[in-house]
Amino acid sequence: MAAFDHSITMEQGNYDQEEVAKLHSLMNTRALRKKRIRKGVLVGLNIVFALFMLFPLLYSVSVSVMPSEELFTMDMNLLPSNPTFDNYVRAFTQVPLVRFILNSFLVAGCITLGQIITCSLAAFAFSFLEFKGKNVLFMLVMATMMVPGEAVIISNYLTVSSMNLLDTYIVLILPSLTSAMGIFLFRQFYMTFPISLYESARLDGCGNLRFIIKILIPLTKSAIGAMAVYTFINAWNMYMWPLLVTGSEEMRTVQIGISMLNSVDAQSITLMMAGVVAIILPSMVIFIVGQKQLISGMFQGAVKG
Amino acid sequence: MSELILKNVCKMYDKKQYAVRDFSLKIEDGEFVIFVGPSGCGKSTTLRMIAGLEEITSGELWIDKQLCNYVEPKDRDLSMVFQNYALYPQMTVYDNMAFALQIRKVPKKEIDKKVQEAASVLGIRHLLKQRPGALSGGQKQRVAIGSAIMREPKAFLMDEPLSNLDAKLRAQMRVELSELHKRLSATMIYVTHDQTEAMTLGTKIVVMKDGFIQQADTPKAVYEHPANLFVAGFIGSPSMNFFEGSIRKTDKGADFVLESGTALEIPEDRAFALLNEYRNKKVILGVRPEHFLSEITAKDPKADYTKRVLNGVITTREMLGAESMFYLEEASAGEFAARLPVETKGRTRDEMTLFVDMDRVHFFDAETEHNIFYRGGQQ
Ligand SMILES: Nc1ncnc2c1ncn2[C@@H]1O[C@H](COP(=O)(O)OP(=O)(O)OP(=O)(O)O)[C@@H](O)[C@H]1O
Ligand SMILES: [Mg+2]
Repeated sequence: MAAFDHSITMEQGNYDQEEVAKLHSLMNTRALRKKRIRKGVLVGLNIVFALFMLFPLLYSVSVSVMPSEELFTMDMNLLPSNPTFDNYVRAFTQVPLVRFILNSFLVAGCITLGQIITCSLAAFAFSFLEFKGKNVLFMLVMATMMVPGEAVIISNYLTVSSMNLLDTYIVLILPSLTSAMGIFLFRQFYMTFPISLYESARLDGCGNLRFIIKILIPLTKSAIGAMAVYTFINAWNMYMWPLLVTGSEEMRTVQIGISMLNSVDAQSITLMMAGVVAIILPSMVIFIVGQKQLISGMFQGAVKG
Repeated sequence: MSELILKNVCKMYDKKQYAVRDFSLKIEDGEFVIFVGPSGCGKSTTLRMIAGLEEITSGELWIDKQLCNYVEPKDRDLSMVFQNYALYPQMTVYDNMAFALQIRKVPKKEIDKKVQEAASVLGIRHLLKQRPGALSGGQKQRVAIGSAIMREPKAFLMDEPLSNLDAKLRAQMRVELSELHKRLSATMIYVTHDQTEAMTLGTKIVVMKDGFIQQADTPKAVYEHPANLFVAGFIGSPSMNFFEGSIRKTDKGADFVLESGTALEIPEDRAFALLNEYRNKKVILGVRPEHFLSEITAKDPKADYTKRVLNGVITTREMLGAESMFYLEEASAGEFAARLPVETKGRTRDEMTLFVDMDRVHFFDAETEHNIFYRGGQQ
């Protein structure tokens, strides 16, 4: 060790302290500049691509604050020259948009909660419990994913109408309370869960329900978060089913409500855009809030599996 | 504490092949039983059947005179230490250790007292507030053992608990486990494929192969009186050398003759029995590396030491510290290993003459692979 130190001081002997410091700062600035340039280029590229991707969205925001005269000209009007919130005011007064948004929140919220509960419980059974016919049952569940929703929508309609459920919240929520996709995703996630934790808990005298609440849920929070965001946005965007089973204005969800804007005044694209922007906002907020969960949840499975 | 009896326990996965077959064993109170054997021989399966994590296909499991085949794992009152520790990552070390007692609704004060006690026994008091993710392998191991001893179960089951640790830590944990066993005087069942662990920890070793018990006895007995060729080769490191040959009658008694013609004199006490049953038949001679000698120390006046030697050419030589391993090549028998004092002379490609300690060699039936002189032992 001593010999090693010695050799270092010998080599440094060629430079004095100041020269070494200068050299350091020179190299530092060079490295820093390189880093900055690289970062600048990356950010620039990202902005260009982001603008490209976001153009439809940004344009619809722009249109939504244009007076309609401005849109229907021969000129290319990308940005409004006289921005106005008139369209928004009209959108909220012409149709009960607030009611639609609340409806959608209620329906999407219930569906999300329901799916999280049912899918995680089903996935728990499929991945932790041993019972006869487990694999066959799982195959059956998976097989339902192969049937397109449109194929069963009529028979579903007949079923709920015979149950006298049409035009209620229940009919909007009930058919989506569970999903094969959700079960599949949860099961995939649970497969990466160390089974010995479950076995250890069993030996400790921990029942299944307690295991789920005290150990499984805290450890799979990110998967649950990802599922929740995904389900919520899907439920928020439902179109066919709500259109089919709701008739009255009070029961409509936003996606249907927006098309009402269209039919009331077919000419007013600006009004329509205002409505669209207004209903995109909630799902964007949800996404931004849940984004971290979504990303980490999506990748956690990938890395572990 | 407790007594476990396994009677003809079998396990079949998927109705195809037995993973464990006719496993019969009596485990007395306070015993430290080691299941050892090559990978896939059914050690873990047996342990998991005892724990109740795996259904018993047929046979009986008795714990304290109670038939336990269909008793739920939590009611068997056993605790298990897993290979990957199985600590709950989101809970602190304290909560991990307290978990089983909390479920059993033990008063908080009592839990606290027990956790503190176990933590100081294992030297992890300063870690109680940490989460498992922040611990080293050895510390996790201690926490896992700590959680296991909290409940004062009827028996501890451990499935290769030290296999994730490095060699030094493993040696240290081995000593600690052994002390823990003495302190708790608990019944322990321990799975490993490390035979050092098996030899040093166990009061009884159960050697398994292909789902069958090969031998169950004390470490000393298993080492000195292996029941068959497999046990002889499996226990001991480096493993026993085997030589094929036959028994030939001589004027004084009998010789073991290698294919190359080299004859080794068999001591009188065993010569008679061997001649009776195995004259001119194939047998396998087993010699442990430490039973080769470079020179004769104790002299038996009746023995002809010139006829107890084996010649070979040195192929490799390894320093072990106090001793050296010599790997030699014999004309017909092939390579064999000898453990000799470190000052023994000899370089690679030298010819070497070694004395065989014929009083401590083993003879195996070449067909059944049983030890010819093995007489029972406990089951
Ligand atoms: N869940 C299972 N399903 C089907 N076969 C299994 C299962 N678990 C184990 N086996 C089979 O049972 C046999 C014994 O396995 P076991 O895990 O008991 O071996 P082991 O002695 O513990 O081996 P190792 O030292 O590698 O842990 C193996 O042949 C294995 O393939
Ligand atoms: Mg195993």
